[in-house]
Amino acid sequence: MAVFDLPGWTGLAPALILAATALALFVVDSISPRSANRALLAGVSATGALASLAVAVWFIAAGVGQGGIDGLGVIDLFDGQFVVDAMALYFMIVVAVVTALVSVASYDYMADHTYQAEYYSLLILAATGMSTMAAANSLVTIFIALELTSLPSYALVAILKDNRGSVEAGLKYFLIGALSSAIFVYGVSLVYGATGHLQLDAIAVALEEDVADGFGGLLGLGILMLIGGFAFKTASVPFHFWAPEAYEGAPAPISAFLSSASKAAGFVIAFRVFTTAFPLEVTGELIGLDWTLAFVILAIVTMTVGNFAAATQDKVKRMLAYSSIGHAGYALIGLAGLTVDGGELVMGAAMMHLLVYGFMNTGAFLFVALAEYWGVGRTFEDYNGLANQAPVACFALGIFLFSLAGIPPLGGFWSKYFLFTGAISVGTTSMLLVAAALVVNSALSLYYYSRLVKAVWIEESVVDRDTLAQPTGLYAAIVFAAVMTVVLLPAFGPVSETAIDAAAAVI
Amino acid sequence: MSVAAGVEYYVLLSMGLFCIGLFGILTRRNALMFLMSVELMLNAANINLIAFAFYHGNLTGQVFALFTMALAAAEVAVGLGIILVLYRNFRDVDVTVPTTMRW
Amino acid sequence: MNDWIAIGALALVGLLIPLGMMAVSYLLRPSVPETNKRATYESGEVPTGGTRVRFNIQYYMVALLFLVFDIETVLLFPWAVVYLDAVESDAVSLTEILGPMVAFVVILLVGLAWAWRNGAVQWAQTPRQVESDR
Repeated sequence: MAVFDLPGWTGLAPALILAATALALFVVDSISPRSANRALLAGVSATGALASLAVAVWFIAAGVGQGGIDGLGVIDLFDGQFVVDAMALYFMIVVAVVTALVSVASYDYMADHTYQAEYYSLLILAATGMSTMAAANSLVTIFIALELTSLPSYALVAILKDNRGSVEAGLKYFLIGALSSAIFVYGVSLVYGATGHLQLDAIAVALEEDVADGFGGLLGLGILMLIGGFAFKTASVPFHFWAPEAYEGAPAPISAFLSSASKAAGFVIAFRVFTTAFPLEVTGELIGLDWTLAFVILAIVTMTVGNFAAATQDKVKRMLAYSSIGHAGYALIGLAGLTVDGGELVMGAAMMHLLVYGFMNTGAFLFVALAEYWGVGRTFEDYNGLANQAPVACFALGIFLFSLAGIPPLGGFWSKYFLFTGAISVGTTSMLLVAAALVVNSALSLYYYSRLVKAVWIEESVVDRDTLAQPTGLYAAIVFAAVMTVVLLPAFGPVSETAIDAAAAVI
Repeated sequence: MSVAAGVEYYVLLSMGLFCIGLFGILTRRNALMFLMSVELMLNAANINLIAFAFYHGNLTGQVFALFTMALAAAEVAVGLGIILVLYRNFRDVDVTVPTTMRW
Repeated sequence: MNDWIAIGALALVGLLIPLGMMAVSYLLRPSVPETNKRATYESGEVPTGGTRVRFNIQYYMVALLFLVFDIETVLLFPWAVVYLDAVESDAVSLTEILGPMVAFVVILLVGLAWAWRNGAVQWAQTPRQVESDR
């Protein structure tokens, strides 16, 4: 394939395409600021996202980031500030898919909104940040990509300017985001102080060459602060407070975007930083503690808090928000299960879970978007009997929810199964505890997910409803997400192979 | 005159600044005060970065400090916008006032 | 140690001169108490309203644009520092050193053009524009 002939910086093409799309949207809006051609704007965003997806898939197919005879090897850019390997491409795919789904769905959801062009350009800018995050290989580029994701997200959450809930959600998201990014930068500065480098590989080399001797405390504090930054981005426990508020107040497609793509992007930097920059053995010697312990605790607490809180909600969107915190806990197992001589199985499983999650969770939130579009209300009771009017969408919802709960034939079951077996295979006491927590929480989650399915399919509607509209964009996005949730099942062989290879490559 | 003050003094200074910022965030209810406190924390990190760049003898930290400044400005721009719509909706910039949802 | 004595003396003198002048003027000036003297000074006009007036939102927009574009220049700074060396050396071509910065400025220009077209720098509206907005 022709990948050989391209200059190195084209390795970032998936992210660059998104950036170009965002600029194109600004240009379109500058040409005619008063008119809002929704179809054009949504079309441009969806095309950009799909182009980014296509390029990322092509790169993986062409063998970028794979060693061996037919592999093209890892693309290393700007002295290792960026690295395009299998893991980067894998997460670029997740981000691009979710962005495409969300922009198609927003066509209907944002129909009578004033700020169309702004909405789509902010969306694509945030996606650019996430895509860049997947490839960032230095604390500098990671921080810039993190902010490029966060800043448009704050504005997106608060974009319904006259809706008190949206503004409140935007404020809380912004306050906690600003706090956590300040903590993150301080952590970066401490790690820089201990090692003298910001590029991840260089940090690892410095740690191995004992540059940081005597700075163990500084380094440990820095790592703890970095974990704080990741916890915010992935909505894990110490910084999860914003998630229910932001997801509930934000426009539902944005909730879908933040809870799937943004979370995946947060995990990719967590994976990369902790596997590349802080090798377990030397870091453990230096700070006198194994950092996987922090993730073991975080994983268990996060999944328990998320699931127990979700079980007590009576608003659908808030329930999904808490369940998304719970799923962050599942994905954290990927970091908790790392060991000195391996762990690619758990990390690969966590990556798979994030991919499947990208479809099923986006789909579930888009169903909420559809319900808000219909104006049926927010609580479980309001959803009663929707299946009579909209059987297709409700069938899709059933697939998403059972997949989220991890019912056997669906995609969500396989990723959880891999997580479980991976955790068992590590075999330490703490990992067995994590595996047990995974099982208990999944069982609990079945309760509240099936509650929603029951409301939609079995309960009788409280009020009489007219026939509900069938907005094309939202329906298309929901049906596509549902099909992908099911289709991933036969595709799980190649997906799991790609994920585990990608994980093995970075470890 | 040689500036031979050890790097540990700079770290102490920056930690002090960081804690002042954190204290402000935890105690102040005014959203603008919150923004200022976050700026303090970011600048504490900048002090660290520049002091350590001097200590390690490479420029990485200084360049990163420049990026931090630019991003802090962008963050303030977005934050002020959000605070503005907050004021328009709630007639107040107290961060504890908006409680339409459960906290 | 001698340096510090000089600095201390400077600080002492710097403090004493204004204090001395204030004391002398206190002793010399006549005392004429009058309520008008306590009123807020507003360029000789009769003061009206409180001090907490609301400004036009346009001040905010312009300040915000200034803040963002002004701060972006710090990113030009490191580039400017290495520019001459890079031009003289044969290792990097001119496109390689100019290209990124041109791209950066173009992105900023797209942003500025967008803000301009959307009325962020439009200070006042003519009656006709106000009319067409309705």
